[in-house]
Amino acid sequence: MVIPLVTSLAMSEWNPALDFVISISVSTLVGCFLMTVGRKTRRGEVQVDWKYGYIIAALSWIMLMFLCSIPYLLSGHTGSLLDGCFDVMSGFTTTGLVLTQDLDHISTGLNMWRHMLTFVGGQGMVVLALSFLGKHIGGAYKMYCGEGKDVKLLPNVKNTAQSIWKISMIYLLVGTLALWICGMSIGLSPLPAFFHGLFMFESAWSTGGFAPNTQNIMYYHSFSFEIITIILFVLGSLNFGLHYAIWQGKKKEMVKNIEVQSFFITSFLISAFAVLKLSQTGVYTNAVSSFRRVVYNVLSAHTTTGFGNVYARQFANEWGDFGILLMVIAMLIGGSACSTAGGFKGLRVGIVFKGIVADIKKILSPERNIRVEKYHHIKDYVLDDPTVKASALIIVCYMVLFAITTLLGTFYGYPLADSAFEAASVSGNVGLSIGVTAASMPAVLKIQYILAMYLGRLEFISVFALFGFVIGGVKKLCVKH
Amino acid sequence: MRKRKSEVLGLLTEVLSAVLYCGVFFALTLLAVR
Repeated sequence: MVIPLVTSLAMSEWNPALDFVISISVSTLVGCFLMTVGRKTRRGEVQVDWKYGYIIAALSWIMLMFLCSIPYLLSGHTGSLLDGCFDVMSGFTTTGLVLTQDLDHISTGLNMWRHMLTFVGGQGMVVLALSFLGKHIGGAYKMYCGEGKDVKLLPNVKNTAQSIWKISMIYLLVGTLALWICGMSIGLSPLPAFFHGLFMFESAWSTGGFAPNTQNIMYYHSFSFEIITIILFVLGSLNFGLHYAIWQGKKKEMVKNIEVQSFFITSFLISAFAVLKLSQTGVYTNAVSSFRRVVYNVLSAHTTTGFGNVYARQFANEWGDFGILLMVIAMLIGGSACSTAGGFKGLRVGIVFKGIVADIKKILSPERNIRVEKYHHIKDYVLDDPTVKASALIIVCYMVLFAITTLLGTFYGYPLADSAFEAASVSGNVGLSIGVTAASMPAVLKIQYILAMYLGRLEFISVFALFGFVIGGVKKLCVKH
Repeated sequence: MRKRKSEVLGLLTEVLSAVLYCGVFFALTLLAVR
């Protein structure tokens, strides 16, 4: 919160600065209280096992959601605490759906806060804590895994977390510079162009989808701005392990990696079908408009970014059921594991697909043949049944979450296609909207969307561990009484 | 020094691959619309 505070002071925004001072004070007080309670763990006197690692990761996200919504609430741009929590969870989970009112007139400080949330959320809050806290933290790796990141770039989890930040910070410099120059070339003054460049970079890299204005990427009316953001969000949706491997000189990973192959094939197929259908129906008739309106949105959905360059209702009115279904599929598949992206991830799609092919080959080959199937992800792995099962289970969990969220949308009277689109958007942490998400929507639906974003981002296991822990505690209490 | 050079080359590889990827998608769109 110090960075938005400094931004507010530099821009002479005194009221937002005061909001951040209050928020910092409250957060520090809560932090001091928790540090006193957990002093034994901090000193390494208590061993953190897997269960508690997951629970800490899941609980820290809930705690941070409430603390980080204070500046929103004090700004007066959100209708209620629930709306503030929705926006914070949307930022942390890199979803990008917004309930904040009058986005075009919010302070630069609050905009900095919104985009920082999505940038930090993309890397992971536990990763942030591990990178910048000096001391060794007990159970650090378990908490890191609890955040849905399970790739160890280096043997030490703290060095892994620092590597993730290093990659992101280098891209922050390169990407902001590119968007800043592009912003000035399309007519923005240097200072606003810098802030727009920084904010849009943070959103694109973290596959977030927030923008400092209501019209999102359409505000810029610029093909070059769209091209730069596509490059950034495609790169942002790649696995941090893959970035690290390529930066270490393993350039062939860009072609051999199962996630890259899976992402390329699925995005290629979905884009091709969408372009064909929408050009046939005469919605977009030339190549440039098809690329800007169709491929851009498909890739934005597939990488779970959520930058939209058509209005929400255009999906419903122009894209038709086929277009909406393609977008739902793209949003559910999502980007890469251990990246800033959401969805059930290309790695799992690739593993399950290879698992199915391996099973078919097994049936067709002579019984005495023993086949060992492998897949390549940084290094070669044997494709065994537990790996396929684990991937399939997560995909099933996503589908159940998607079905329940769609069902709730239809319960409140939204059309099936609209409910499914929005449910895929929240479950896959995308952020594209077809018009369901609004400050006026039912509170229960807002809570369900917060839960879906949270579950989708943490990939279920941590949240299930938390639920199990709470239910176990309640059971014990009941037995006692 | 060698590590720094490898990282810069890695960064360039990634950015160029993404540019190429966008190019392929634009070509695909052009073909589909024609």
